[in-house]
Amino acid sequence: MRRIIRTGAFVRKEIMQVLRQPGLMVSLVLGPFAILLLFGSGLREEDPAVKTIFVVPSDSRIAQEVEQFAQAQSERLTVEGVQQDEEDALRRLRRGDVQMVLVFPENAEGTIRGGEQAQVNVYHDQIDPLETQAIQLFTRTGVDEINQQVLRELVRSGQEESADVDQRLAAAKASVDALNQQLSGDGDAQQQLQLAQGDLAGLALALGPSLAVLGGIQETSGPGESAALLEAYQAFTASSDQLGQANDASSIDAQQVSQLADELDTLEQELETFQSLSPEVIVSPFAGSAQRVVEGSVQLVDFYAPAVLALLVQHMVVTFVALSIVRERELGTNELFRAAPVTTAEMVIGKYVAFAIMGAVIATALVLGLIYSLGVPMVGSWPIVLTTIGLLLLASTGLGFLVALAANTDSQAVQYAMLLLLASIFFSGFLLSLERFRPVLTWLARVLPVTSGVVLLRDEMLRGQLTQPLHLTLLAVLAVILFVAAWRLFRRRLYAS
Amino acid sequence: MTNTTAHDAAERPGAGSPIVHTENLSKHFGAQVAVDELTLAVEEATIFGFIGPSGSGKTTTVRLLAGVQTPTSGSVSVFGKSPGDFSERERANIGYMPQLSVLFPHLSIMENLRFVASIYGMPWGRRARLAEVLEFVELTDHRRKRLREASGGMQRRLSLAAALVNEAQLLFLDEPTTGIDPVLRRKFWDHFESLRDEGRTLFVTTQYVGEAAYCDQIGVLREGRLLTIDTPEGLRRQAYGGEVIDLIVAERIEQDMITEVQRLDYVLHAQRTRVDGRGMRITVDDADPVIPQLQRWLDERGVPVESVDRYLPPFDDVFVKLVESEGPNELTGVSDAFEDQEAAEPAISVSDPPSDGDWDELVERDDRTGETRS
Repeated sequence: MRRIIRTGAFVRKEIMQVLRQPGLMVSLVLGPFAILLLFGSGLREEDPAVKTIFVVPSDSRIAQEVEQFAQAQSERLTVEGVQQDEEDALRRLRRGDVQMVLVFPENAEGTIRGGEQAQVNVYHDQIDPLETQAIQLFTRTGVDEINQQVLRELVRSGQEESADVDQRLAAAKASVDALNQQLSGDGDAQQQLQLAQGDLAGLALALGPSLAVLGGIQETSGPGESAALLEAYQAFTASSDQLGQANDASSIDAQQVSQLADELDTLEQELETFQSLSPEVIVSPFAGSAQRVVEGSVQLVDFYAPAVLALLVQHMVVTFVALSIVRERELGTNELFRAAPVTTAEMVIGKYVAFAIMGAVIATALVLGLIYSLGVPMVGSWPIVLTTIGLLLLASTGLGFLVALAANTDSQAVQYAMLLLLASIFFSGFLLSLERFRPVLTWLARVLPVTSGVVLLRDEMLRGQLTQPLHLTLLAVLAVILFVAAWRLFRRRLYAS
Repeated sequence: MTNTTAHDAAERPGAGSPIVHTENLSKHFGAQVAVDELTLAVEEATIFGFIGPSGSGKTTTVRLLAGVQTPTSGSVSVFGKSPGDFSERERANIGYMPQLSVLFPHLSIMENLRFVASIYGMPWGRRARLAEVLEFVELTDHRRKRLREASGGMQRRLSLAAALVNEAQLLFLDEPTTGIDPVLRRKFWDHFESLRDEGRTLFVTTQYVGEAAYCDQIGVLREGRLLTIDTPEGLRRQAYGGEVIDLIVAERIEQDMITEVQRLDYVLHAQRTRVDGRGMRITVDDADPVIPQLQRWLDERGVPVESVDRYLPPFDDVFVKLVESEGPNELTGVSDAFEDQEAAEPAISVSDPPSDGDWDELVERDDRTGETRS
């Protein structure tokens, strides 16, 4: 009974002390929550549009494609203009009128024809590494889009030129058939050979550039709808080259000519198929579509809200506990505790119970606030969420003891608590995924109770299931280890003199 | 109220057996020696006063006895046990008042007292006891006041209430009257005496040397070393080498007469005291039988006597004389220490401004102890 009375003394004292310091409550709980509320209500879901100038040389044949591309980027970019003056565009960038300038090269066509890539230069004024990364990504995807647009145009013009190819193909087939007949009869095979060689060379010339482009597309985007055509064209060119090298009709094998005739038939069929295909499908045979298997929609605020909850719970409890212990030491109350019949176990348990009660009340209010005022989804199990918060409270109380034992004054305790908060923001997975860190840091991060708290609360509230249930065990183990450490170190410090 | 002596104490219940005993007790903080080879015994049902200048080791001694600190060497025995081995029951039987207020500024006076009662395991039905001690320290009307809004004097009174609340057998009170107004200070000492009369033991440190008169035994501490332990009367004897008589005559006393007085069998020492030369301070072995003899001797010689009375020197003088006996080189330092202490720790704290009652109380105390202040 006396043990309960003594433990209860600390429970009551801690709760009364916190309630008597409304400023502390405001700064530690309501303040961060109000900031989260502002963050949630003020955050735009879409990325801010980047003010951009496109610089395209006057004589460029890709100007039209660039114009089309620029118009298609209205979600990501605010196009301030498509102009020719690069110096003016860069001047405006330096002045801060725009954030990005895309400069397309002069004589791009000539460069490409010369077998080199035409360079698109992207200038920007971002110092934020994440924004810089986004611009690099945009540059890659943007240039890819322009490339595809150019290719689409090439394919389209190739298809449009198919009438000429059809005539040449028909002439080549007729010549080969005639050659075949004359080789088996008495005609002038030599003259027919020369005619066939000329028609075949004309066909190869007509098909060559377009199919070379198709070959390039296939190399980058993998085998697609044009693969059979390319295969047929390759077979045709091999046989055609063989026939083209023959000088004397008597040296030609009739079977060889028959094979060429078959290959021309195949080529004709494949060309028909190719002409019927959409240029979009030929250039981009694959289209991507991401489908989330988790139910419900998760907005940016929803994603951060459970992490903020975990962070607030840890920071609040660590600060309360640390201040309580350091102030007792500064006041000299420990002197009284050492003389009194109260044990360290009663003191430690009393504080744990007090801060668990206060933390539970505040955390419940925060959770309800997140769900009902910010509309954060709660698709998981309440018992798991509450267990996570409970374990987080216990582990954070232990951490608060350690902070108090490291600090000599209350201002030092607040500083250490702030350092812990900073470490928690960076290493808990709150801002950046844990996978982005080196393994050593990832393991160190797991020593922070908030790390497991963030994983568990995000999973349970937003996914409705734990993807890493081991974190629940980890948090429980951490709570036990911190309790034992807090108890032993607190006793050692209390009786150290 | 009467002065108490060791003899009186022996007649009280429980008196006679040491409840606190130290043997060569020392406490060092690095190179600094706070308590040096302290040996003392405090008998049960007595008030043991511990007096010394600031930094003399009083608080450290109390902390060692209460088990708040552990000794560097030597031994402490309280209730027959080392404080480090105290059981819950023994700790519950000790009341401890630290030198400074150590309670919680954001809690009210009543909440703080309730907290202390709880950590002593006092059961829920303690309301009457809490009200009683608050009433005693005159804080009932302020019980809802937060401690940080309370004056320094109120905080001391709360600390005393906290030490008394568990009705302990042994009380360690570190400067319980500092910052307390004289009337209340007197009330506290009366209560300490009644506690002692009930059989409790009080170990009290004080910066007011005059309060030594309320103690049964007094230990004088200086620079961590115990100079002496004695009753208040015994200390006066030690300081002056006997009892003192003050003689005032109508005319200037000539040197021949001083020489004649010094030659009397019952006189140990005589010297002129007043600026006008009409006073003489005479030290004798026992003042009571000597005063009528001296009166007769003066009458026979036709000396016009205005007064001849026993003089009880103030304890300030007693302590200065006692520490003077430690050696001439240390005298200045000790006197300065006491003076510094009075200057640094005024009898009336800033938060409790001196009142007219302060001087009245001093006069009242002088009446009680027979002291006259020069």
